[in-house]
Amino acid sequence: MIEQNINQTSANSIAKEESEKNQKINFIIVLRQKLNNLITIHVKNIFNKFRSNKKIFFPVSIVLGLLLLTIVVGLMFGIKDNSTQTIETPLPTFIASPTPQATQQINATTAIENELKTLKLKIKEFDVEQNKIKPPEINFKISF
Amino acid sequence: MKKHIKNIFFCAIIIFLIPKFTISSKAQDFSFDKAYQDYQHNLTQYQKAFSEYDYAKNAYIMNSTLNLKDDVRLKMLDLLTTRDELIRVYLTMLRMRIVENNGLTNDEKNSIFLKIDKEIEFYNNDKTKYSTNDSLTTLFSRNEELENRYKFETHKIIKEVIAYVSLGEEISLRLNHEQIYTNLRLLIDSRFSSNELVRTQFGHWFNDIDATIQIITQNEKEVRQEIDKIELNSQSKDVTCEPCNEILSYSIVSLSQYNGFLTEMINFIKNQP
Repeated sequence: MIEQNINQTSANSIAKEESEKNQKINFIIVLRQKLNNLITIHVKNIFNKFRSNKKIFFPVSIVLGLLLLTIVVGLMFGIKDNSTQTIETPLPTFIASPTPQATQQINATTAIENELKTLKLKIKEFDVEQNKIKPPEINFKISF
Repeated sequence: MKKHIKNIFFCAIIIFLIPKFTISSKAQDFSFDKAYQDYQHNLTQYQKAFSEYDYAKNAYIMNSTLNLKDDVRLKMLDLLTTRDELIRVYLTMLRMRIVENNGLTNDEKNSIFLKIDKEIEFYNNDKTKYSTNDSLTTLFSRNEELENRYKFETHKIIKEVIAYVSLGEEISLRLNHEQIYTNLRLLIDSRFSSNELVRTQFGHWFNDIDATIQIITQNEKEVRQEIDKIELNSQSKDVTCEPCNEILSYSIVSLSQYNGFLTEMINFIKNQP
């Protein structure tokens, strides 16, 4: 008898606990649904307001677009492959060989000779009267 | 993120700077050759305007109608504005010739610019003073005013500038020869030190060359004096560059001799064993 009573009370307590758990779960589900509804409505409202204000929407979207473009371009071309390292080959050492003095002098004399030839030509072409820039012939006798 | 913002900023700066850069490079491109082309173009425009005016004038003289008179008036208005522009462009061309001249000092150039800029400004302002309603009588009197201005002021400045251009070009040639002469003397000195040449050979040659240089520099002084006379001459229409040209012609002969002496020296050095 006593055992039967004990079994019944335990069964009752288990049933109570289960019902409490179910209630809690139901409450959380309802709360989540309400929160979701609230968030989606608010976000939608903000986005609609943002879209309707064209003075803000276009500049912001253009800037964001440009940013996105630069990021994409940067990712495509900006990243350097660090795995391949260039091995610097040592430059060949330059050994200055003494040039003969005679060729230096020959070069100097030919350079001077050429300059003199150019100047001789300029002297020949020199126009003392400056005919190229002589004043235009202007006729002031236009009255009648 | 910051990098990208910097990139955008950098691109924006470049986009804003490109037009400014092209404008400044265009300004730098303006040279005597460009100014000469402008002058040639304006000269053609003036000749065209003059022949059109002449044609309209003859038509009016043959048949004096009101319509033809008005046509002459408009053609004359066009002629006078084109003429102002032609003189302005011509003076600008002369200015560019002075800018590119290497023989003149900065002081000389600045004194020329003061005079020439005043004239350029005058003709630039003058062409804006004409009105489409100006009568033939007004245009005739303005033509007379311009004629006096050109003959007594502008013509004198033009002659002075042309004389300076010739002088500057001659000085530039002399300076080029002097540079070669200095280099040649250094070369000869190095040959002396290595006993490849004997000093006595060159003593007389150097004296002759120095004497030629003295003649040329003396002529330059005389040309400057002649240019000053142009400036002081009150009768602008009588102004001539002839005395300057005559002296400069002698200088050119001396320069040719100078060039010949230096060529002879260099040939002598080259033929040494």
